[in-house]
Amino acid sequence: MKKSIILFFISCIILSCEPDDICLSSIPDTPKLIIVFYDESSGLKKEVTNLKIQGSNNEKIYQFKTTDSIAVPLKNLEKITNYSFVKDFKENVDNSGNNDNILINYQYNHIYISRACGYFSNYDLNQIVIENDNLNWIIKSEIMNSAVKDEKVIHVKIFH
Amino acid sequence: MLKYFINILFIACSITGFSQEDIALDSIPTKTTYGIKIGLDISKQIRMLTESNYKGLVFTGDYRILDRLFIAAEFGSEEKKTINEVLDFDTDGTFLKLGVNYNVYNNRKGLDNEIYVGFRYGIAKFNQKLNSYTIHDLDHYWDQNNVNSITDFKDLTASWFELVLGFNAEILKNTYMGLSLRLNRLLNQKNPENFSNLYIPGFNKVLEENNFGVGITYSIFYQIPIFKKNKNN
Repeated sequence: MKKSIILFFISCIILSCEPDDICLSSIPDTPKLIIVFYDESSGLKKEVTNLKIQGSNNEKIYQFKTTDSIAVPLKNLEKITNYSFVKDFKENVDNSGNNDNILINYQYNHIYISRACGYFSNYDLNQIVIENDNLNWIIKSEIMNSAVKDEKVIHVKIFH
Repeated sequence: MLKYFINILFIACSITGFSQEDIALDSIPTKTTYGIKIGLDISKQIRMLTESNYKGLVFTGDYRILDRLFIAAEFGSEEKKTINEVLDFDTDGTFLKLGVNYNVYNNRKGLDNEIYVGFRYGIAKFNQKLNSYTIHDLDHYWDQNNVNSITDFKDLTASWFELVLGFNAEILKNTYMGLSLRLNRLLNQKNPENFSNLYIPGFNKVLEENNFGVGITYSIFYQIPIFKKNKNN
């Protein structure tokens, strides 16, 4: 009888270590909006020098670097996310560079993944608005893929 | 999961190893009682003491139709709140299980104990209420990952099959105490939209990786004797 009791406890231990309880890092995260910068005249990819990206009403700077493509997170509970894209920003100088405000309007959906990972968001882009400030460095924007389901494709092109 | 089956098999083997052969060939025929056993699965009450987010009441019973064969049934209701790092939801519902037990134990003269194997077919009807959830977003830039909105999922159903291994020991005249282990396999379920049945009353916790589940019962029965019959050896 002792043997069967031990075996019973062993089977309980085996069953209690469920991979179900751990959210594996291979599970896709909520996708970010992929924006790629292009040259207006040539239509080729073109870097933006010293680009500072910061969300409106967000104290943290999201990114500061020279790049031709970025991935920005969208809000999960609001249909509009505002960002300020500053070109030629100088690190120690406030209000330096050329600031363009960009407004991203979309629908969000929360989609169930699993017990351990919960939900993730998908977005459907409606429009991108570049606020007109008479000195815009961004010439125009174009939505390439309105469904933001992963980070494998370009969602938005920005020409400058 | 295979390991579990093997373990169950080992348990079954070691238990049957205990069964004893009737040595004495008595000339006086042994009589055994046929009746209905009605009981309460008090493992649920024990669980209520140790788990504050759980409520359950389960009745159980069997009826002996042949020397070794019993028709068995269980019904009850369960309420369970599950909270983990990313989900907070409530499940409540009722279930019914029907099946048979086959007694593999050779009783000594005058005793009426059981070591049985059996199966059940179970059905449940239940509701789920999702209270809050977390968006899997490793980038916490906007800090909008916790969603507190209540969603109700009503009239969900599930059916499953259980393999049962257990024993019932007569501790007093017509009073039995029994323990059983269950290996469940989910057959069918009505899934809620954009959520999952992570707990099913009667079935217990549902794994998303496979269709198997486990359960345990600990019951006290009272047997209503109906008639006595000679035991045919």
